[in-house]
Amino acid sequence: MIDANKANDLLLPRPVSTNQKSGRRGMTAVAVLTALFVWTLAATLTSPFFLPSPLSVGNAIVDLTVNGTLPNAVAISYFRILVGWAVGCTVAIPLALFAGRITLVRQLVEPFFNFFRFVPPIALLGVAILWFGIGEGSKIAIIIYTSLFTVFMNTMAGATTVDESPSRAALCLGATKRQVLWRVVLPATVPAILVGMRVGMGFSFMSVVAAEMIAANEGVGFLIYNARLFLKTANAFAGILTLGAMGLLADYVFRLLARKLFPKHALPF
Amino acid sequence: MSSAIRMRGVEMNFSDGHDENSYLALKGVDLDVNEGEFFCLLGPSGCGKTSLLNLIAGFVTPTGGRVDIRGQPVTRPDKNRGVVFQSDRALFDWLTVDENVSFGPRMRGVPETIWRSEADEMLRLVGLWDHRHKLPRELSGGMKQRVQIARVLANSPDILLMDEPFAALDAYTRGVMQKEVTRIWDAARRTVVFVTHDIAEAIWLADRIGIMTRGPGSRIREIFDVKLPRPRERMTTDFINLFNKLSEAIDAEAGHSSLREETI
Repeated sequence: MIDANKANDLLLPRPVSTNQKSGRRGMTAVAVLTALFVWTLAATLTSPFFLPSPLSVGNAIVDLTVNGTLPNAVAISYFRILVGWAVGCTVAIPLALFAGRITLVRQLVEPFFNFFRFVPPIALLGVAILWFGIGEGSKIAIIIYTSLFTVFMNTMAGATTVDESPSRAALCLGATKRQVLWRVVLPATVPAILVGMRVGMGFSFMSVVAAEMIAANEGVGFLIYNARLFLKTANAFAGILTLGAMGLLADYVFRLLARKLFPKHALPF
Repeated sequence: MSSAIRMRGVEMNFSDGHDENSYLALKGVDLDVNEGEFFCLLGPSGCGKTSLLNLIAGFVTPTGGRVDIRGQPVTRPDKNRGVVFQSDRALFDWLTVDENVSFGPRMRGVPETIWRSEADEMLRLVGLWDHRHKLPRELSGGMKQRVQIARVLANSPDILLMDEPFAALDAYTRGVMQKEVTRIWDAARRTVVFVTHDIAEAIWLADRIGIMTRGPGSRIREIFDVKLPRPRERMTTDFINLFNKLSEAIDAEAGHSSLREETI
């Protein structure tokens, strides 16, 4: 019998120390404070219409929150993103898995995806309004379109490049072809699917704002655009900061859920 | 003695339908591996050792000739032929060590009471009992290869196919693993085909060593009997003599004696 501990423990990954973690947090704090300082400095040198100070933007955020405009805008934008993104993922993931595994499906679907890759979501907004009306339908359709492509491309890439050796191992361990698909290929593709979903969510934020600026009377995109029209620059900045915070929060929740749902997978985030 | 594995006139031509891109990996391979024998395939890199193993495993079908297991032609991978892969990517990296080892019996619908005790036995056999709840990425290279071995053994295959399983390990761990494999083989006496490009490793492990010719169109050039008593010792005169004979045979194939990868 060999001594497993002595022979091999040298190669185990070392945990990140709490020192390193708090060091990273410290650097983030320094960066944010520096940015706020530079911003304040720049704001004192220009007019508040051109660049409002962090303080006045903070005030704008408080005002917009108290009168309900901002929470309402956040809720409606989140709703559009989540619905569109969820539908996009639901359609894209199974389709991409099929395309990744079955050459015929890939050959049928890929030309369309390669073509529409170059058609930005916003280019379709006019048509979307024509088809789905001025209401929620058109905005959500645009988000679906956006996330569909990102999620499809990533998932398909993941499914086509899945390493063959685990599947081979499973076959010579007595697994059936169906078991290989469900118990090996699918779990092996999970990281690629999650990366696709995450990137898709990022793009959905961009699309919803563009859609809301052009054709909406609610939402954070509308709030920013509207503030610009009335030269309420502080409100525009309030909206912009809110967008960033919304994105960070959504991404954080997504990563948290992904790690909870797939605790044993090596996720690249 | 009956042949566990018999290959006759086996040809393997990798082709994508265009003649200029086809590659003839194997041609005219004849090989008999006896029941219960430890057989090593030795040859220079790119000589088609892995292709030969993949044919026996049933991952690919030959473009010519026959591969028979106990008189039955190989048509597909089978639980009776367990494969230990060179790369640890063959592990299911989203499953714990324990779940990897019990994967085969679980997929085959073996009752839990039976596979549980078998998997536990194998985890102890390869010294991974204390690490059974870890994930492959938390293990060292040597431990990962032991998971692969335990996973295959938990399935009780008649034939064990090992494709340079220790090539990626450091010299010390490799030595430890070679002892382990000999010990396991002594205990279970299964037919083993072990692919390696390491001459010392082949002498240490094998009953017989088959040297392959250089590709394209590789075949078995010569078979050497290893008549050294077990347990073996490395620096004996017989060991070194055989090492030199094998080394010459391989050099003659590789055609450049200065570029040998092996050292004793």
